[in-house]
Amino acid sequence: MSTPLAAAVDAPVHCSQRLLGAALAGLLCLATPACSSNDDPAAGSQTPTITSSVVVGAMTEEDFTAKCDARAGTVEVMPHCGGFATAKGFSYDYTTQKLSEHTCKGANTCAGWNCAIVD
Amino acid sequence: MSGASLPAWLQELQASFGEMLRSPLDRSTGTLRADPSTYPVALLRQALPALDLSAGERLAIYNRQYWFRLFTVLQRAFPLTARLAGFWRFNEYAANFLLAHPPRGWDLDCVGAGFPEFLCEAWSGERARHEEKLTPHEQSGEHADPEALIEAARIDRAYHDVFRAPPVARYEPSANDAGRLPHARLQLSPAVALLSEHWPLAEMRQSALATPGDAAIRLEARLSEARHFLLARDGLQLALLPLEPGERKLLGLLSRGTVGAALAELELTCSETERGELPINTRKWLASSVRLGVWAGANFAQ
Repeated sequence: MSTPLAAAVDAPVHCSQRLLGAALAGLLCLATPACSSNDDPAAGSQTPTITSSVVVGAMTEEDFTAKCDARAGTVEVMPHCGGFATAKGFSYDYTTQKLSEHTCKGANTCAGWNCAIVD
Repeated sequence: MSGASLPAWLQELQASFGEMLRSPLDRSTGTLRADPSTYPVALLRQALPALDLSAGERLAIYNRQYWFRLFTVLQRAFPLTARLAGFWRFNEYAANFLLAHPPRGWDLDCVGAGFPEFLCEAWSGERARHEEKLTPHEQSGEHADPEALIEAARIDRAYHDVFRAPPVARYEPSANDAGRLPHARLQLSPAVALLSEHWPLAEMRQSALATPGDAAIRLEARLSEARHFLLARDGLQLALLPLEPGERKLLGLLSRGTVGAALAELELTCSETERGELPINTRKWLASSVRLGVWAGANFAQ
């Protein structure tokens, strides 16, 4: 008996089976999720929190991007304010010049950049 | 009271008053000026003078307020566009837009709907005019490339729409959806927007908002390559997330057609170099899109 994914990959579309399979795997989040609604401590997962915060002085976007690239993360720009981290990682607040590590979604600081790191 | 039950004289009065309100302000002197000579004659006859003001001058107060209120609404809704064009030039296009599309509802927040599309049409032939000698009042917007202004208007509008979108639950396809997904059309969440820029407009917008003022801002140099972003909202906060060119293309294709058709188009139009990495990138991009709440649902009735 075929799985729903296998059946979908066999569906007649005009792209390669390999690409369709990869697309469905992505849409079905067969990649590792970052921060989900399971962050509820009652559900046994980690509470979103800032685990460390260090004043590192002035940092440019290029500096931050290099650090983020070194950890295979994705830079997120915060045009208005922080609190938008989509995954655990670290953030830099250029108003306080603090570099902070955080464990999950929403834990980044304001004004600067966030580096989302998906395991 | 419905329009049908209004007495004829009141309908006529309201119509002529509305016409007076929408009379364009004169720009020939370099100052926006109400011109009562353009008001409906019947209305001028009905309006009474008071103190030192003639009937026309009294009506002009309403005429000016109509325009100044709407100019302010559009300037606030399109802050980058207004600063890039310069307020004088921006108001000219705002007036032309409002003459063609006067507000018809109670919500002032809706006044700017369709403005970027209008500008796109109005500015499509702007490049020739751009190189002509402009009036002194237009000097502030002299250097702004019409293409950049159109792009700026789209970015401004995206911020407006994403910020004001209703709360939407993200769509996370289940295994049970898998069999139908190739023929489904994913619905882009109203709380996200796909943006592309050929000038550093997102940064300029942030800078313009941080330094409010009347002065036009100068357009920075065109980027060597277009940049792409996902503008997304979480609660009351907005974020710009960089997108790879292929990722931007895929999300755009998915927002316009079925999953299968989007993938076929992506595969057909990618380069040989991109093709090898396409499956792994597609998986990564789509997992990220679900995680970021890009999709609000799927239409399986294709």
